[in-house]
Amino acid sequence: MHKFLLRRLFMLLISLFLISIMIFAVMRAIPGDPAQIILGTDATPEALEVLRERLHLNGPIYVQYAKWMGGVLTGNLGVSVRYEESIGRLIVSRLSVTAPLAVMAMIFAVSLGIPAAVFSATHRNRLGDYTVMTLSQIGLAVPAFWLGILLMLLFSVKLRWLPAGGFSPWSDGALKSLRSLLLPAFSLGVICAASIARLGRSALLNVLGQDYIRTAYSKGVSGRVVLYKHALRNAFIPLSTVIGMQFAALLAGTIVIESVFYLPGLGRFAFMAIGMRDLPVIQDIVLFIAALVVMMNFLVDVSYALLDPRIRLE
Amino acid sequence: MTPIRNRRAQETHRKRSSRSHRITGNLVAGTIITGIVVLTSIVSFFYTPHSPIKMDIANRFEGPSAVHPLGTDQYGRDVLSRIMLGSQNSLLVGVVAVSVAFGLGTLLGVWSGMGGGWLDEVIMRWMDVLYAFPAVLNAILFVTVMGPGISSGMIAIGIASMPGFARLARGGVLSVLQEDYIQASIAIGRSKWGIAWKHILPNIISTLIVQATISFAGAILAEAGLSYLGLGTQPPFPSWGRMLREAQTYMGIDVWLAIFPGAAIAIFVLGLYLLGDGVREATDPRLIESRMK
Repeated sequence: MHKFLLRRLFMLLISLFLISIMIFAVMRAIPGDPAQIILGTDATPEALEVLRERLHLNGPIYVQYAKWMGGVLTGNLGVSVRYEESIGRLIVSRLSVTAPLAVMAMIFAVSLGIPAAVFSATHRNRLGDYTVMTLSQIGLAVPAFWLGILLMLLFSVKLRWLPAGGFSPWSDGALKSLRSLLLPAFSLGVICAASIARLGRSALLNVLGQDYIRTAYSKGVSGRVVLYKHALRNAFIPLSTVIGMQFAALLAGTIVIESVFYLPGLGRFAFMAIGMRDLPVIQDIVLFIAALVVMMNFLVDVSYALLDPRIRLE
Repeated sequence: MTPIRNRRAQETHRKRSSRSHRITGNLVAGTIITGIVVLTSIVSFFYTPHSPIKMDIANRFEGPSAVHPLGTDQYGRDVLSRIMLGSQNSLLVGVVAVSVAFGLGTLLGVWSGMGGGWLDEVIMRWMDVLYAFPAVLNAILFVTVMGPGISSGMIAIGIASMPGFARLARGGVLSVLQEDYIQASIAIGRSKWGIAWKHILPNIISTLIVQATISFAGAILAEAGLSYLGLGTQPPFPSWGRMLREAQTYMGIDVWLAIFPGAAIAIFVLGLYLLGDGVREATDPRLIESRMK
């Protein structure tokens, strides 16, 4: 296990290094002077020089990269040009919206997707199975942000049960904050539930067809115990990979839904930074999100190996 | 072989070959839906019921009627005509993004699988890195460099879809390379690229086509998201995502505006998924085998 873990950890570090190189290279490919792009054409030469100095744009390219990386590794991400605030602090404050949103979405996804998968697999090739599979196929095709707009239309505009957008800060009460995350989280969760239901069904059917399940049945174990104790546990191993990867995708994919519901999350922060030409913020946020995705995938790999010892042997 | 046994063998062969490329419900439904969208897009080049761009303020927010089957928007523009024109945009993004991903991804995957060693390691590590950039995140990078527009979106989505093709192609190459006839071709001195073109690509092409339809659907969804954010297609050219953004502002006045463009996206994506499933069912030997049993 140690050898497996060390190899994966080494690959993770290599990936993180390559990601940083790629982001840095793309940001440096912007045509023209970054300082001029940020401050605009009206900026004085003195202001431009001060900004160039602040962003370490005067030195050779490898020194610029080393200074950026040095800052990242010591937790000093620099200062936002527009907000005049530490980028690290800004990211943490935005994460207090995006992280609960992704967790809530995942709770919806798992609590809808797994029962649907179990129902579908236990009613194989019957009307219930076809209904669940048709609904999940439609669920995969619906854009989450359109579902969000439709839910907003129903629950906020017509019924007036939930807020149409915006975020009530955590300091005003957790319940209010959670209410403002309910619709966006449900929109994202339903879409994820569709793929969990499909993959869960096929994983469960695969397990249910194996010899040890037949043995359990022949020993007189009840269908319920076979399903929940023997089959679902093993079907959950490939499913955990899907859930983990979906969680990573959710962290990166909340950009559009946060804009639909005007949530001050990480994605919307990145989107606003484009409009404000806040290049250091864009660079750091893209690095942060990409690193989160890679680290989530690493955790998925490791947990997969912990759950299924055969993976470590391969 | 006796005549009877011979006839039986021929019948079995005929049965197998007729089933080996079975036309399933998914394939039919997917082809019909995708075909309708493609046809609509082609028709919209020379015909739309009304001008998709011309404003008619007197008739704004009209619900569905005989004159405007899907109603009119906040400027009195015909929604059906705008959805028809918007399909061009979705198709263009899908075709370009998937072509980039299919072409480059397959090339890199085959190169990686054939080359092996450090080349394989370097290419696949880069694919892992690209995998960390979902389409919208990638688009943020590209829009920052190139500015908003359809080109940034197409390239970003194409690059984000590349790792899927590369991994499939590499996997296909590695499994086909083990076959005896490939080893024989290598032994008689055939060039690696010749083997890849003549023996390996035909073996993995159906898997890649399935991946292409799934990526196409993903590209449509990603483009809609980007256009919703204002980072994709720029006005006045309509795009389904942008239409939804505009509809959101007026959904208290006109509900229909928020329904039709989203339904167009969902139907097209559903058609592509069904088509992908249909192609897989028709070409995957394991699925054909399980059906024959």
